[in-house]
Amino acid sequence: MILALPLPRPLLRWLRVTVSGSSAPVREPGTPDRPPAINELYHARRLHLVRLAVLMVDDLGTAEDIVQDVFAALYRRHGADLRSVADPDAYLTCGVMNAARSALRRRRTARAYVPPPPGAAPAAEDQMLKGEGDREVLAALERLTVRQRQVMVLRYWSDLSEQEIADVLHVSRGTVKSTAHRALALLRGLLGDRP
Amino acid sequence: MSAVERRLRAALAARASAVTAHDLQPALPPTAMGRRRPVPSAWRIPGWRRLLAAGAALAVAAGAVAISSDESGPRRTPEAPAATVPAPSDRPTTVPVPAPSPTLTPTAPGPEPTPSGSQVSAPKGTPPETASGEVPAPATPGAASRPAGSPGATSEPVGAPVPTPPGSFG
Repeated sequence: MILALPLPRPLLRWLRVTVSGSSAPVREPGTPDRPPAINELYHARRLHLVRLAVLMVDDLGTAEDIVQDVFAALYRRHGADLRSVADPDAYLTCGVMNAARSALRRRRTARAYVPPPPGAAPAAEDQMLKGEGDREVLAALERLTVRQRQVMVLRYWSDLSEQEIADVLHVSRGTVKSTAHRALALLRGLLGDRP
Repeated sequence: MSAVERRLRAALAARASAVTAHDLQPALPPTAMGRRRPVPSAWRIPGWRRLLAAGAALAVAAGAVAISSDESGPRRTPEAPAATVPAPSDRPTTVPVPAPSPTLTPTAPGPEPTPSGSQVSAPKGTPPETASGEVPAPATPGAASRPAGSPGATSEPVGAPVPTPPGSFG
């Protein structure tokens, strides 16, 4: 016996998508051949965002997961056309920074219980670095707090201004300035301020 | 720009350039990962109505729990103990003092022995006759419940220790 219940059309569509497990890409009505805007943004900005995440978490796999999750969250929240997002690039940068901060917090909690084995071999990416000086700087960067590291990366790699960093991190400009000052002082102490 | 800033900039650039497009996993655009569609506007419930609905649901659930607890309340009360179980009394329990067992006195006239050797007692309710014709008092309180006509119930045993009341201890 088959029961047929009259369901509203949105519920039927949602059930069909849930059962099939796939959803067709949302396209603009007037542009059937044009890929969604979020896909273009994904292909254009993915590598840059993965590099930004790598500078924060020092792990390529984690960085890729972070970027993928940020794009998925953007798609779930704003759809494919991104018409409701004023600055998608800033949105993605902010999302990557927040996700990297969460990942570092989880990692530090895990390392508090399980210390890393002594004498671990450096990763392949570390072998590709140009010199010993770069490794020393990156090791000193790991000793900063998460907020200080965010400010350093956004300022000296992304070349953002203090106000732009403040907007991304949702803090005041004075906080960015003082955080950068303290971080540079710590790095000078760790690196010896040699040329 | 100080030396530390230059070194920092160079190290960050070197670390970032170590990640190339070939190192990344195959790209999976977000539109291929599925998306939770937004709720249609006709199905959207305002905030205060949502709170009202949640409050009503909580009230219904609390009422159901209260009703179910009232129905199952008397079942959880234990039943009264049976009449055969003695109720605890407030008075201190006293150890009953054993009464000396009566001894048979051959002087008292008894019934004739039966051929089988067993003694036949007098019928209940008939006071035994003594030599003085009086009804003997029971020797012990415990003996009062016995039939008055039991043989040898009128005299105490000779040389038996006199029982002392429990209150004499200490």
